[in-house]
Amino acid sequence: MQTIFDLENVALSLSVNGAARAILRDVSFSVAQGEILTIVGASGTGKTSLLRLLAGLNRQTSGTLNFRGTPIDGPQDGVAIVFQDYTNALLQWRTVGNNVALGLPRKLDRAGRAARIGDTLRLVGLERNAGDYPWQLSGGMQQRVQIARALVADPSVLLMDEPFAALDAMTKAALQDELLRVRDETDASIVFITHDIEEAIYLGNRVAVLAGSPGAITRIFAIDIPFPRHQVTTRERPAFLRLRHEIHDAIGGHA
Amino acid sequence: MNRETLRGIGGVLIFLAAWEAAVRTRLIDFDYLPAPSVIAAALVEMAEDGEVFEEIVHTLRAALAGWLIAIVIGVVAGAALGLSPRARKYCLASVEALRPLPGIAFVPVAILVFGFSLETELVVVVIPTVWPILVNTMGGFAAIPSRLHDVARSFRMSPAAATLTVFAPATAPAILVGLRLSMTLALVMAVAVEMIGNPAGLGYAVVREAAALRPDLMFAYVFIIGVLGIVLNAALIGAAKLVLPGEFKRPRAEWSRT
Amino acid sequence: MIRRLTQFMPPARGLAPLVLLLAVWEMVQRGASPNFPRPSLWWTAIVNLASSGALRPAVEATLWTFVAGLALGCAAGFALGLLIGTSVAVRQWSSLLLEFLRALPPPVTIPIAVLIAGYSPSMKIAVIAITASWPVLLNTVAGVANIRSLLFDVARSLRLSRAESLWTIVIPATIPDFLLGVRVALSIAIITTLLVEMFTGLPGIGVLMILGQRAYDSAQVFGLLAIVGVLAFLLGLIFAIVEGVVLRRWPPRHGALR
Repeated sequence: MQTIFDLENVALSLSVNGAARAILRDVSFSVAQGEILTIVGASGTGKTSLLRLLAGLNRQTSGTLNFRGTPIDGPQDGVAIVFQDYTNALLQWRTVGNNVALGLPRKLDRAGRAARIGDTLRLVGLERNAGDYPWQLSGGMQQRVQIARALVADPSVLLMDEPFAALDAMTKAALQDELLRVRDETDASIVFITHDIEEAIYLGNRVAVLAGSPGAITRIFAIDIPFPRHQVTTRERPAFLRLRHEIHDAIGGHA
Repeated sequence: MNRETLRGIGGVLIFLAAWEAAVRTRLIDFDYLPAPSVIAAALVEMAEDGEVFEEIVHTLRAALAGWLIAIVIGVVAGAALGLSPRARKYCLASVEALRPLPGIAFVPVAILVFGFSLETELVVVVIPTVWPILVNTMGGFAAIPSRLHDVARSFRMSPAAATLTVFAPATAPAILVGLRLSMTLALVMAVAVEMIGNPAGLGYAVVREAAALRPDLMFAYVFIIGVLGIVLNAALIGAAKLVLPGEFKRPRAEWSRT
Repeated sequence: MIRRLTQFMPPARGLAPLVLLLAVWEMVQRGASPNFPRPSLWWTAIVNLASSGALRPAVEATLWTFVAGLALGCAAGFALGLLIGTSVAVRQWSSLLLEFLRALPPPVTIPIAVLIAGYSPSMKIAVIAITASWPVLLNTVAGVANIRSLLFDVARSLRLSRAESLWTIVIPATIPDFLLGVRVALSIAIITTLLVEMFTGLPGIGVLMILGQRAYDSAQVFGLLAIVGVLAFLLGLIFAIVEGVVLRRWPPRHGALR
């Protein structure tokens, strides 16, 4: 099984108002091909910063960060990102179809582009909204547009920064299941950041706990609950409840 | 003083230095474009001479007097229109039809009636300046949520008391926007009419020095006009902060836009 | 089509005050008043002007120079605004300088331009362009500055080149602010066009008004005033329509700033 991401002793310091602030200290973990790794932690532990490092948007202060064996020096081919703030991550003045088109690789011809966009919109259930503008759609639909934009280039890795945090509970549940279904169809690896413990367990093959300030990966839990998962029954399983406890303690144990 | 302000000042200094250098080295060689040092000397000359202060007072008087008249008309009319949807229905089209009329087009009429005088300046300042105040005041009053009207009624307030204690604070921000826009416009119109209508004040001074082929004095006057605009604006904002301290704590997009 | 137009205009019965004013004026001034002639005399004067062949070239000159100057100014303002806006460093260094230049009343540019460049149609267009470019430039800079940094992250994560970023993200994101600036530039350009004509005597409606004023022909002056009003109104309407069409694909704004 190939390793997609490999982090060793990664630390990150950012300069805030002239002073250096340590955001991450000594983060080490790896992401295997085809797995869903959820990273869970309280606010302020540096989850978003960690994702930005994986995305190549920021550079780490020290430590090694490899994507498929080579160090990351910027946004990589085959890595797609879904941000939490869908309103500002989409181009509000472009139709849904044209927003998704932004994610397409350059070399595709017109027919190929149309086909890919159509297929991806069908995948997320938005095939009838191609001509709408994002501001005309609900929050959940806008987030699906962003996911479609990420998926249209058939990425091998999907990085998601608390993508469902701004949505209501029912939409969140629907999108969680949709994400799992999409992953089955496309086989991408997913790194999913969240502060919601249940979401982390529900979606993940493994759950990494980011705790402390500056943050570090303190524990990684293997989720031994089989797929396919179900919103109600999976969350009632003893394994689920046990993991919920343990992860909660792991997060809370560090101030 | 933070880094941003320092950089801003630095930018001005670099601009002035570049200008000075360009003129000295003949890189820019227009007959009538002097170097900043020459303009600065002219400013000193003007200050010693003393005449410039009268001119400043003249322009200020025309602009501020016209602005105050416009405020009275604009606020009263704007409040009336803002509070009465009926009045709006019967007046709005006229406002929209008259509003685009550029104040400068009234100069020939004003000269015909009043000749070269302060009255001419006042007419040309007041007419276009009324509109921003009227429109913004109207918008402010029209936007008062109906529950505030209910509040005033439940306290059995007289219209005057209601206006003062309930409506005024609610509409003050909108009125302030109108005041700010119109004050800038008042200065612009005063200077404009002094250029072609009333040979007095700073506007006329600029034209006079240009005709006398004294570009150093001309630019000096231009500089003074610019400074005047900035000072007036700062004074208005300062006064507004005294009256409405809460307004400026919230970040407002409007204050940074033209 | 008429339906679509009327959404831009308030109810027509709102013209009643204006019509009433003109009607009253007409009736009250039965005896010829030298300074405030009745509206029907305005019409006569305009017809005379038209038949003498002086009106049409003047209107054409005014409109043509106005459009040319405005277009040039908007293009220059937008380009410079993008340049300044996309670099935080340039923005900071130039901020104070721009604030001062913004405070300069546009009319002041005219004597400077005349002194440096003389009397010519191209000088006129240049002056209109310069004064019109300011609001466009400032609003464009503000628009670029307001682009959420998230969009730039999106651009980088999609590995867009700088040119692609500019074309697909920066420019479209700035369009609403750009249009706000154009709206302000429109009224400034009208004022400047007329003022240049009145000041320099270059052909246009402004010159006709001054000539009428010197000949004590108040009917002509009022008639031309009315024409200027109608033209200004139509230009504003055209702009509102164009703006509405362009902004259809942007999320509705929370209310115009003017």
